[in-house]
Formats: sequence, structure tokens, C-alpha cells
Amino acid sequence: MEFIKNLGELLKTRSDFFIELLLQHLVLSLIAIVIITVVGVTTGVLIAKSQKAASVVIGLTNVLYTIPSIAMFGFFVSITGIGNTTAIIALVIYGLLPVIRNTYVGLTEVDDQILEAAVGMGSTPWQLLSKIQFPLALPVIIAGIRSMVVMTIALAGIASFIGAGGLGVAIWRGITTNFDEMTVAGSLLVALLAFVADGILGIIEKRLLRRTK
Amino acid sequence: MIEFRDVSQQYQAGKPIIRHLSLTVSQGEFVVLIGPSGCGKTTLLKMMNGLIKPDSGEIRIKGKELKAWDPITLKRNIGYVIQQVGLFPHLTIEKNIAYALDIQKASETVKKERARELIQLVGLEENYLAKYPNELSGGQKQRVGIARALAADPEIILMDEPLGAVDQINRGVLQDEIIRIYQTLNKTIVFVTHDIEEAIKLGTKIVVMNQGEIMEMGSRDAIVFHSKSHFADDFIGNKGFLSYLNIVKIEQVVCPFNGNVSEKEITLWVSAADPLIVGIRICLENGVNQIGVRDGAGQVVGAFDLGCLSRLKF
Ligand SMILES: Nc1ncnc2c1ncn2[C@@H]1O[C@H](COP(=O)(O)OP(=O)(O)OP(=O)(O)O)[C@@H](O)[C@H]1O
Ligand SMILES: [Mg+2]
Repeated sequence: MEFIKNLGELLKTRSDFFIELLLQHLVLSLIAIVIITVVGVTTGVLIAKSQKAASVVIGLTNVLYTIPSIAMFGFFVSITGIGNTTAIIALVIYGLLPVIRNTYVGLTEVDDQILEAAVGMGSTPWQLLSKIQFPLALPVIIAGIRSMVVMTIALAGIASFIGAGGLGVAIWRGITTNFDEMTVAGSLLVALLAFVADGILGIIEKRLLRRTK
Repeated sequence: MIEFRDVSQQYQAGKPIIRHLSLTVSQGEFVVLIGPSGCGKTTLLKMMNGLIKPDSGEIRIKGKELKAWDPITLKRNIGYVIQQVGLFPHLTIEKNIAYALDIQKASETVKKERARELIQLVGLEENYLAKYPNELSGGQKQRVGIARALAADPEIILMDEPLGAVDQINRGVLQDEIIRIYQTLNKTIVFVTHDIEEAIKLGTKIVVMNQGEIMEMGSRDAIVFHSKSHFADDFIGNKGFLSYLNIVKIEQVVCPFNGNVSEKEITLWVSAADPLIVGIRICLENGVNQIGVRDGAGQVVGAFDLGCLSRLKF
């Protein structure tokens, strides 16, 4: 009880500090999320044309995905130094897998008959992609983006270990100064952020599903 | 309009699906392809709009060799109803119908107008336009599939079993609708079916296929009465004959009253628009050879005579 009271007190008195960290966290995650979405979806679309390219690219991202996050951050520090840039690079590499994979799966699983009808009516390859394949794959793609967003927001908490901003700063400071309330406050806010983002995307996903099923 | 010369095709080496096939579809013909499942009807149809390329032989569409056509332009010139309907699940019925216009960048008003016109043509109410395909029954989807193929007003229309999921009653209605479209819009149609009655009702030319080859081809009279191949004889057989009697109208066989019988002595009458089978039935039921025929306005047009029937030049 005492702990929770202290926690509330801390969040209230240091609200400026936390709001700033929250915003930093949001910006850091958002940059990574935008890059991942653009790169991931584009890659997914490109490899959907060739099964060979797809297995290579997805295999590669799979391998990257299994590298422990601390090791990944450490590795990039040795190349690009500490700071936000390094954090974003690492976050992007982690987040690519679900987006590439889901884009690829979504696009390739569109019913053959539907594609045949669209091709048979004289769609250009671009029209086929933009008017038929992509909209039909969208629910699957959004699902991939959704898990990537949650993961990226959570992972961005670790980014402070390599000198990036965000709520990880509070967690890190709490750990190093033995200030439990600080650690918990930072973690809670990360969780809250991830939860809200997930909820919003969940609603979007549902809307799309209702249309296409 | 469509010319196949010695065309062969196979998906896997050693398993030919189409064998040295030659076929000409002239402008304004209604050609029906019929044959057992797997004989290559769909494959043949897909070669007509370039979805499948032949391994050998020559295909000409509107006088131009298939290879010389831009594949997209070719497909836009040919309406296509695929066997499994294949409506776009994420688009409303309106957008489905207007798709061919959409990819050719027609204006919104043109697309809306055309969708409204076509949904009526295939016998669905306008409120279906706002629905999605998953809200429609199988038969309703097939109607939309037909409407969709007509949207860009193509000269040639390919239909792969377009009425497979429609019940018997609506099937008849839609068949009449297709005949009407064919006659009024002056289309060239290639139509695939499993249903012998449908083939005989719709086709101006019926093509009986088996194992990638044409076994027999000709008008309904030729196919029902003068087939030269064993296969077509078996395949069409009495079922085809019965369909023929169900479809050919009495007005096509009206003859003068037989010598010593005068019009006034006739008590049994049929309508000129009735099929042959109705006339035959009345004769058999009443044990007579001859009955009278009246047209829609009740005017006497002549006699229906069992003896006359056999003298018909089929
Ligand atoms: N993509 C494909 N790859 C390999 N074989 C195929 C392919 N498509 C069709 N076939 C084979 O080609 C043959 C002819 O198929 P097709 O679809 O033309 O038959 P169909 O006459 O339309 O049959 P149905 O009346 O059942 O629709 C079949 O034996 C089928 O298994
Ligand atoms: Mg078929």
C-alpha cells in the first residue's frame, strides 16, 4: 500500500519529467514504427512476386529476430555509437520480421479465383496489387503491424541503456539508484503506451475484417 | 472472331489437355462447349482471352494473332465469367460490377449508372448494389458475375458454367435473359456448361468435347439427329433429344391441315409458342395424329401433325 502511495506521489510530483520521457518514447517508437512499416510492407510486396526471394528474405529476418536485444544494441553501439540513431536502427531490424512476413503471407494467400477474375478482366499488375491483392491482404498486414508496434514500444524501453531517450531513462535510473518506485513508474507507462496503441490498432483491424470476410 | 488452328496445350509434360484442336467462332455466334468434367473446357476458354498460352498452334482473335495483342487490351475486349464466380469480397456489388470500367478509368457517374442498369438486367433489385458478396446466395453471386462481365460492353463474352449454382426455375429465367442479351446486344458468346438441355437451348453451335478434342460440332439439329461420333451420340443421346423436344417451338413445324380433315373438325389446339413435346403429348393422350395450332392472338396458323414431324428437315 505504502508503495503504491509513493508511486502515485512520484508520478504527480515528477509529472513533467515523466511526460517528457513519455513523449520522447513516443517519438522514438513512432520513428521506428514508420520506418518499419514503410520498409517492411515494401519488402513484403516485392518478395511476394518471387518465392525464392521470399524464403531468403524471411529466413534472414528470422535469424536477426532471434538475436537477443541486448546483443543487438551492443553490436550497433560499436558501429554507430550511442544515442537515438543506434536505438532506431536496432528497433527497425527487430520489427521488420512480423511486417514483412505478414505482408507476404497476406498477399500470397489471396484466393486464386479472385486473382484470376481480376487478371481476366484486364487489370494491370499495379491495379491487381492496389485494387485487389493489397486491400484483401490488409487485415493480415495490420495484424503484423500491430504486433510490431507493441514490440517496438516495449523494446524502446531498453534503448535508454545505449543512451537513447524515452521511458527507459526512468527505468534505468530507478535500477541504478535502487529507487523501485521510479523503475515501476517507467515500466507501467511503457505498458500503458503499448496497451493503448494495441487497442487502437485492434479497432482498426476489426473494422477491416468486417468488410472482407 | 475467334480462330483456333491446330492448338495443343499441356500443363505437365506428357499429359496433353488440348490436342490439335481447331475451332472457329464467327461473329454473332453463340457457341456452347459441353463435355465431361476435366475434358479441357475451362482451359480452352482461358486460351481465348490469353489467360493460358498454347504450346503450339495458332490462335487469332478478331483477326489478329494472339501474340500480337497487348495482353491487357485483349482481356478488356472480352467479358469473362469465371467458373467459381470469383467476386471481389472487399468490394460492394456495385463496385464489383463496375470493376472493368474502374480499371479503364471511367467516371464515377458512368460506373454508378452502368451498375444500376446491369443489376436490373440480371434480375436483382437495386438495393443489392450496396451489399457485399458474402451477403448473397450462390445463384445471386452468379448473376452478379454475369453483370460484371457485361460492364465494359465487350463484343465477345466468355462464360464458364455461369448458371451452375442457380436453381431450376431461375436458371430458365436467366437462360432466357442471356438469350435476350445475346440477341439484342449483338454479342459473340462462348459458353461452357455441363447441362445438355442448357446447351441445346442456348447454342447456335454446340461443341462436344472429350479429352481435349472436339468430338462433334454443329447446330442443335445436327448434334441431336446427325452426330457422326459414337461419343457424341452417347453423350447427347435421348437426353439431348428430350431437351430438343422441350425447346423447339411448334411454330417451327406447323404444316397445312391434312387433306380430308377440315379446320372445323379439329377440337384439340396448341399454342404456336409451345414446345414440340406439348403437341406430341396431346396427340398421344388423345390418340390422334393431328391437332390445330393457334398463335398468341388466337388466330389459326395451321396444324401440328405427328406424320409431318418426321418429314421435318432437321
Ligand atoms: N493449373 C493446372 N495445372 C495442372 N493441371 C491442370 C490445371 N488446370 C487444369 N488442369 C487439368 O487439366 C484438365 C482440364 O481441366 P479443365 O479445367 O479445362 O477442365 P473442364 O473441362 O473445365 O472441367 P470441369 O467441367 O470440371 O470444369 C484437368 O484434367 C485438370 O486436372
Ligand atoms: Mg471447367
